[in-house]
Amino acid sequence: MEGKMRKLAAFAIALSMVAAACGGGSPGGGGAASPTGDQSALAPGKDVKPAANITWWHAMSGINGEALNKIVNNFNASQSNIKVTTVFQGTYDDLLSKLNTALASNAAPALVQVYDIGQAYMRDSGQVVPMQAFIDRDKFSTADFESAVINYYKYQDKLQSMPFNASSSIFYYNKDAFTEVGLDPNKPPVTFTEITDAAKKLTKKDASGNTIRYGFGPSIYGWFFEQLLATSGALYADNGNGRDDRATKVVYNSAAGKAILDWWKAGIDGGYFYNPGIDNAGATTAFQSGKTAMYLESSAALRGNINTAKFQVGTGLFARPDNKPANGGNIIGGASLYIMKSRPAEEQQAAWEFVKYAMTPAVQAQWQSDTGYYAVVKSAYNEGPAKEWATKYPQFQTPVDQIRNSPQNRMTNGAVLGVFAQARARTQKMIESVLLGQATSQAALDAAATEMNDAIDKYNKANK
Amino acid sequence: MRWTARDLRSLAVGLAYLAPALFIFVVFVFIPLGRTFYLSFYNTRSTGLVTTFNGIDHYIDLITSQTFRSGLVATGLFALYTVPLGIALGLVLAVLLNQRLRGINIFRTMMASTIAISAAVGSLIWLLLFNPSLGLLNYVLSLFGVRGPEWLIQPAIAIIAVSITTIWLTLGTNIIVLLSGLQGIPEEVYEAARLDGARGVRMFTRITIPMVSPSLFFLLVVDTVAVLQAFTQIHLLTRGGPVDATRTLVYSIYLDAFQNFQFGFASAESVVLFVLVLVLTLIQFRFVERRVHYQ
Repeated sequence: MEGKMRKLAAFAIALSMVAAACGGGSPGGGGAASPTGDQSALAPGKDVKPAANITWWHAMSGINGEALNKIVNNFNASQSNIKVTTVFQGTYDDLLSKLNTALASNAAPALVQVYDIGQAYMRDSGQVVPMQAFIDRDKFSTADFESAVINYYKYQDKLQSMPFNASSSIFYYNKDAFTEVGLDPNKPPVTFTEITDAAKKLTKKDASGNTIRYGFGPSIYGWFFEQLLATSGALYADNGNGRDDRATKVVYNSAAGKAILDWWKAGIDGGYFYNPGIDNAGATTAFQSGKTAMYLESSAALRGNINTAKFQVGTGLFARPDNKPANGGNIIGGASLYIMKSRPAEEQQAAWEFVKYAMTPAVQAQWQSDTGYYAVVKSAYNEGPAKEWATKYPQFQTPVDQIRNSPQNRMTNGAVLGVFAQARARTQKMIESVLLGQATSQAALDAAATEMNDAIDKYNKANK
Repeated sequence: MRWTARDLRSLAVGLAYLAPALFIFVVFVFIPLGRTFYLSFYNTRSTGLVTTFNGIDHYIDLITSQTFRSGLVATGLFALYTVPLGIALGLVLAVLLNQRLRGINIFRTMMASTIAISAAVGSLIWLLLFNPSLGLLNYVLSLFGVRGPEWLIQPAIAIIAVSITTIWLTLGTNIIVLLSGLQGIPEEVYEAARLDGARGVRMFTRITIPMVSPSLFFLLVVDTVAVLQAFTQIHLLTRGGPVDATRTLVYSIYLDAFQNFQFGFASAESVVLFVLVLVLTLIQFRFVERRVHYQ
C-alpha cells in the first residue's frame, strides 16, 4: 500500500507537469490588476448569462459538511438557473494539494473553499478572479461584514476571496473543577500568570504521585502560537505581517515569541501543563475526559465540548501576556471562497451568484447555528436561528465579543505568507523541541526563523 | 544472426501480449520516474510549473541539510525496529501455526487477518490504542501496575509506536509467506534429521531455518522496501513528529512536495530514496542471498 502512495505521489507530480507542459501559454500569467482602483474589469460582464452547472470544492466534513450541503440544496431549490454541485476534498491541506494539481491540468472547479492561511498562495497562483472585481462591478456592500473577518482577507484593501466560515480560538475551562479547587467558575484566567496560577491549583495527583489531572493542556498547534503573538501585539512576519508588501522574513524570534515559549515551557516543567502533542483531537479528548481542566481550541469545538463533557464547560478570552498589550487581539481563522479564473465567464458568474446567496443574513445565521462557525455578516444575529443558538449556547458570545473587541491592526489582522503551511508546521516543531527540552526558547525560535527565511526567500524568487 | 519474418512475427505477437502491462508500466512508473529525475534539476513555482534550471543544487541542499540527516537516522531506526522483529515474530507464530491440530485453521485465519486490514484502518486503530486519555494500551498496562509511556509525544517512543503499528500491519503477510515455506519442507528431511539424533532447538536452527530461508530472504527484501516506503501509519499517527523523530525519507518527500510545494527538491529526495532502495536491495542479493538454501 505504502509503495502505491509513493508512486501515486510521483505520478501526481508527473501528471501535473505533463499537463502543465501541454498547457503551455495558458491564460492567466500576471493577472492581478493594479492594487488600487476599481477592479470591475477583471470580472465577466454583467450581462454574461450564468452557467447552468458549477462545482464547488470544499473541506467540510461531518456536521459541517451536512450544513454546507444544506446551503447548496436550498440555493438549488430557490431558483432554476444554476445548479451547484459540491465535492468534498478532504482536509484543507488535501484540498489545496488537489487544487494545485487540478490547476495545472485545467480541471479546477469554478468555486473553491481555501483555508485562512492559503490566501497568499492563492493570490500568487494568479489563478483567481479577485472577489473585489465582482464587488466593484455590482457595488456589493461589505459594510455589514464583521470587520475582523473582512480585514483578514483583504490584501492592500482588496478582497481576493469571500470569507465564508469564520472561527476564533478561545479559552475553554472546566467550571466544576474550578469550583472544586476554590476558583471562581465565572472568572476564567486570561493572562499568562493567571493561567499558570490556576493551573497549579487545578493539578491533582494520586497517592503514588502520578498526575491525574493537569491544569492546562493546549495542543502544540502553530495556530495558537500565531494567536499568542497577536494577543502579545507582536508581528509574525515583516512588512506589516506581509500585508504592506510581500513578507521577506519571519520576525517571531522576538521578545514576545520568547515570552510565550518560556511561559509554556515553565508550565510543562512545573508539571501543571500537559503536552498532548500536535494532536488537536487528542487535546480535546483530554479536556472532555477531565485529564486537563483548561485548554485552547477553536470556537468551532464549542458544541462538541458542551455535548460530550460531563461537566459545565466555560469559555473565556484567549490567553495574553500579563501586561495585556492594548494593540493585541485575536486573529480570525476559518476559510474563504475563491472564484477560479480557469473556468469560463459563465461559470464565474454562476459562482458569484451563489457566493452572494451564501452571504445573506438568513443563510449565515443558519450556518452558524448548524456548525459553530460564526456568521460573517452582523445582521445574521437578528435572524431566528442565530437568536435560538445564542440562548442555547451562551458561551458562544465569547468568540464573537473577542473578535469584535480586538483592535484592528497588522498584528491582529494576522500574517500573510506564501509558505504558511510550512511555517506553521515549523513552529510546531519549534515548540516541541522547547517543551521536550531539546533547545532553549531563543535557540529554537532562531532555528525556526532561519529555516523559514530560507523557504520564504525561495518562494519569493520562484513566484515573482 | 538475421531476423527472419517468423521471428519478427513472434516478437510482434509477444509485444502485443505484453502491451497492456507495458502500457501501464510506462504510464504509471517509467514516465513518472523519468519526470522525477528531470524535475530534480529544476526549480518550480508552487503550482508545479517548471521555472529555472538548478543543476545539482537541490542535491547539495539535501546532503547538507540537517533534516535530511535526521531523516536518514529515522528511516534507519524505523527499518531496524521493524524488519528483523517483524520477521522473527512471523517465524515464531508460523512455526506454532504449522502444527497439525484440530481447528488450527481458525488460528491461522486469526493470525493472518491483518493482511485484510488496510494501513489506514490499522493506523487509526493504533491511534486510539495509543491515546493518552482514553487509550486501551496504557489502561491494560496500568492493570499490571505499569505506567505506560506517552506513546506519540516522546520522540524516542514515537518511532517505536510507529514501528509496533507497522509490525502489526505486516505480520499477516509474514505469517502466510513463512507458513507456506514451512509447509513446503518435506517430511523426509525431518525424519532423516531425527534419525541422526537432531531434536528441538537444533532441529529448528539446522533444518527448519535453512529450509525456510528462501521465504525469509524474500521477506527481508520485500519488508525492507515496504518499510522504506511506509507512509500511511506515519501520516496518521505522528505526521513526522515529534521534532522530526518519525520524519522518514518518504514522509519528507510528501511534506516537501505537498505541504511545502517544493517539487524540485522533493524530486531530488525521491531520486535519493530510489537509489537507496536499489543499493540496499542489491546488497541484500549480493551478501545475504549466499546464505539462502534453495532446494
